[in-house]
Amino acid sequence: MNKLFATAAVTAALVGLASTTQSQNKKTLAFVVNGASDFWKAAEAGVKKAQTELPNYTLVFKYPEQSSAAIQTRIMDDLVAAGVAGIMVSAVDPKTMGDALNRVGGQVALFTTDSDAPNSKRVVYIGSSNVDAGKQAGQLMLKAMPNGGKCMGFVGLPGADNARERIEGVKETIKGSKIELVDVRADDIDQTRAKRNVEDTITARPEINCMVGFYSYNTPRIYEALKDAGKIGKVTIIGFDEDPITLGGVKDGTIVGTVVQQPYEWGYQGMKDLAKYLEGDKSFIPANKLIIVPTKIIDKSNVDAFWTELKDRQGKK
Amino acid sequence: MLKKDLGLLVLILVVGLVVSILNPRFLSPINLGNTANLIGLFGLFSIGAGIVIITGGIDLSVGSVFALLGVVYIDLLVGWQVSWWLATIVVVLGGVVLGAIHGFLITRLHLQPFIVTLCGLLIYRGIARYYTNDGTAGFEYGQSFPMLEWLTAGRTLGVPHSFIMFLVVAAVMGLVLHRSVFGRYLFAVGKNEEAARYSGIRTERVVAAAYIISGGLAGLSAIYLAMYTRSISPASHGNFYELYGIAAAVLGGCSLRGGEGSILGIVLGAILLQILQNLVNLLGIPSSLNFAVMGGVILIGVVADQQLTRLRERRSRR
Repeated sequence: MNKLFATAAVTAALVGLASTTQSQNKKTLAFVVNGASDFWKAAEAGVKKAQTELPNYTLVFKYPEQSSAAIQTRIMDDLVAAGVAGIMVSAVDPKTMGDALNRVGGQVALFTTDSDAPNSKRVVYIGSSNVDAGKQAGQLMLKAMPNGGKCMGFVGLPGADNARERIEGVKETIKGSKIELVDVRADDIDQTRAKRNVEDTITARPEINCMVGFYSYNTPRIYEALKDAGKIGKVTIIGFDEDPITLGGVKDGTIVGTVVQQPYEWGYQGMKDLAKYLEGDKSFIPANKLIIVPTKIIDKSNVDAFWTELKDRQGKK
Repeated sequence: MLKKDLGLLVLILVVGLVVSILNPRFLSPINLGNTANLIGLFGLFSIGAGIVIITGGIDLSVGSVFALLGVVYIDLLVGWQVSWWLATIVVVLGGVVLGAIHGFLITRLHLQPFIVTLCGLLIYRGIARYYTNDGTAGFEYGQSFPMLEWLTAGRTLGVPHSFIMFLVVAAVMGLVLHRSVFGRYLFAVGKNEEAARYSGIRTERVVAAAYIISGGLAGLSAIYLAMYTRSISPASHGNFYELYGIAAAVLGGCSLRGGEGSILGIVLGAILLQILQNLVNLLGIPSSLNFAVMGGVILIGVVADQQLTRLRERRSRR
């Protein structure tokens, strides 16, 4: 009896799965991200919101098993083979994925988000400008340290475009001031190393009085290492993105502020624009083919409102 | 102390000396404390990796075990609000159970350890990511567990408790491996499993026990690692950490063919690996060179050790 029950349940599940992926007569639009993280939950919420306004389309949201260009390319090829009409992608490595992106862009409508591939057959880029985000972080630094400071940056992958552009934006803004970005330490997205980098900096460079976390998990690791060393309040912390620890620190004033992107808007606007494009409306595409969704500075004044909205969008009440 | 261990100790001292001349802060109590903490974190599971290697096997799954047990642990504490000691028992037992499964598959179904634990590596990370829906498991801002934090991340007189735990485990495992009958069996099985079986050792039980020890220690480390990072993104947490364990064990004189190795060697191997990471930051070497420095120093050390051994042999022959 039990076995029968289990078989029935599995069959039902499989049928359910098949019917959601292959609903007929509706065009499918896919949002493909570059890896699994909380960050994309908000984009997923935006896509869900767009779904309610686009009843004639089926929207799907795809996480690759690993942040690798090969796996992401396979996912896109599979989606094209399955007959999707449009794909919006945050390419893992836009520089080396040119062929793959052109192949996909040659067959379906291709938008890029998060990381752009300007030389590919993509229709348009919808996302942040990381240089602008870096500049906003630079402004936070200027405001918090009018008398200057020596800063250490922490990042996952210093060679990745988003990291490079953020660092470039910060450097551009603080140029000519008394604030200096001494070095940026990398951890290859290993949080143990991220925290140890901060600990080692506290030991090796006691003159450092400001720390910048360029990736979402860097800022909380900075906060924790400084807390363990009893240096909270003595070192100015500036962050990017919206880790709960970062937001908590902004709220109680131990972190000056953080610069956040708006993945919800990418998902929402992107899917709606993709549908528009497929229906023949190309008027929304600017001449430079870049639709920049501005990044926002979150500091003590607006952190509460932002946090409430974020929890709602990430489905965490 | 074996000559191999002595060579490794000399290498550690030389590297330490050079670093402390270039940057005296290397020897500051805070830096030694921080490094000792990481030695503890990485050393705990290195001992498990070493025990398995001594039996001639390999455990590739530990990195994924950290991701899986880590998210379960944080979910038990934050989501289910289970008391921390109960959660700790559940997670350590979880590690033991995973180890027992590996042991069962290897000894009863006669599968290769490489395959079994490689599948473990893939499966556990997959489950961990499914479990959190590919999100990050972490504590809320300001959430704290004073007793648990004191036990895992706390320090007494500057000595991190993770390091003390590591020394305790190393001492116990040292007794087991070098002073007990079971320890002799581990070596015997690793050297020649068939001969061990014919001499009346229940080799299957011995091998399975090695994986259970490795699993249990992985469960314990999972807790320490989770309390260190306080946030776990299952897609990346603990990636490739099994290699740190295997590297520490092999550096410490464990032969991948089995039958050789010592706890002291593994401890020294774990110490060397963490000092190498520490020096990259302290000397301001670009982070991109991190692994290159690690590989370079190890290679130089091993080559020097090999040459010295040869020289000694040649001299003794004369």
